[in-house]
Amino acid sequence: MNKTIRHILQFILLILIQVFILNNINLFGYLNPYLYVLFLITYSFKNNQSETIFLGFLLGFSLDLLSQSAGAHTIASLTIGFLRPYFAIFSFRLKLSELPENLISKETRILNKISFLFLMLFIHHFILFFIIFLDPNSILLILKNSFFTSVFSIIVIWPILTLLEIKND
Amino acid sequence: MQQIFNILLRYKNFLIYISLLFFSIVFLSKKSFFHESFINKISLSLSGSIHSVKNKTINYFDLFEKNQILKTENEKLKIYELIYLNQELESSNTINFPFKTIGAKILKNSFTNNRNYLIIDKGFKDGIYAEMGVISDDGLIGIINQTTENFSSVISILHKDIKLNMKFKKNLSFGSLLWQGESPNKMKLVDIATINPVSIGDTIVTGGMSSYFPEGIPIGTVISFKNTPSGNFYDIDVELFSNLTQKKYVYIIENINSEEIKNLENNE
Repeated sequence: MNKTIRHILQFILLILIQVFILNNINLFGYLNPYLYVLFLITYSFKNNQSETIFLGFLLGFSLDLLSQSAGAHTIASLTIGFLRPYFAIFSFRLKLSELPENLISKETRILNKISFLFLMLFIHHFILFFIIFLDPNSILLILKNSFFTSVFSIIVIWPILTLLEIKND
Repeated sequence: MQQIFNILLRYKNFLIYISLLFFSIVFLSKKSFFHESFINKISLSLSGSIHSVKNKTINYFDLFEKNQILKTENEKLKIYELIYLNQELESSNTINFPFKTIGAKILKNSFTNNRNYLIIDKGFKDGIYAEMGVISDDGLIGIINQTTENFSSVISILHKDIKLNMKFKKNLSFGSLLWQGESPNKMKLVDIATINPVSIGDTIVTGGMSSYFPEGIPIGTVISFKNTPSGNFYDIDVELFSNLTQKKYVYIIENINSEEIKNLENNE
């Protein structure tokens, strides 16, 4: 019960931070970190996968409604909610049943962690920008945007993850 | 049954993903005009190619009937040609007629909805762009709405939101023709002032006030009329000459001057 409330609070807080603070950063004119993906990164792997997909959808949908964007966030976070186990299997070299409850802890190796974070964020951002631009001719621009935004997002997410690790210990 | 259920359960996550994705795409298309027109374009080119395959197979079965229709139409055109040649003989100055036609075939026709669309087999490759008028051998069809490389969608005149400029053949009083979604051969003519005499059987032709259609194409006859409650305008029922439910071939009208007219309208 305690956990559910914590998840709900985390969900709301992340959306609010994203909409009211981070969406207005516009570093170099176009870079915004997408912190809200953190919810899908830290969400427990022991929970039902259907639940994760639905939460991914809900996360993107509420963000789209609040930030007046069309539907790009919904599709992007829904998709990484669906693909998350495969990213984890790829990055941690474990079977689906062997995945620990919390992937991000002090024991995880830094390279595995970066690979997982980068996969999640890059695929998310790529889908996001692809839907926003929706133009096969600007694929290079989409890739460039996704890459730099992913790097920026990792820079923002990393210290928060470290704090969470310390708290979990 | 049990097996189907098992399969459904095994791919439960994938099915949830697909259904939510579908929902998001619908949401996306409803919220953003840019994305909506992109998705419409994809669906137009998809349904265009499907219907063109269907039509190619069906076409062989009614070639005879179509030949008959073409023959009668050619006869009609021959008369016009003769008139034209005759006029040319009488006065040597060439007639300045700003319209050109492009022939096309209907791939999909609809007339049962409130807002009807057609798909035709010519696209921007053939020089077709949005807002060109479309006519058939004996009346109006509609206005081009969207084009892809090989196909175009046409807003039918049987569309609730379309108003067409019309006038009486006998005295040039003009009004707007609209469709109220009843029968595909009945339309309504409104905005004709009551100072003009109207009688049953009068012929309605296209007015020249829109750049979509040339002036003077016969449309239909008056079958009944009454005054509107305000008393200043007629409310006229018109029966169309052409049967829009049986069309196979259309002509797209290109107005050579439409750019100029549009520029003028924008400057106003």
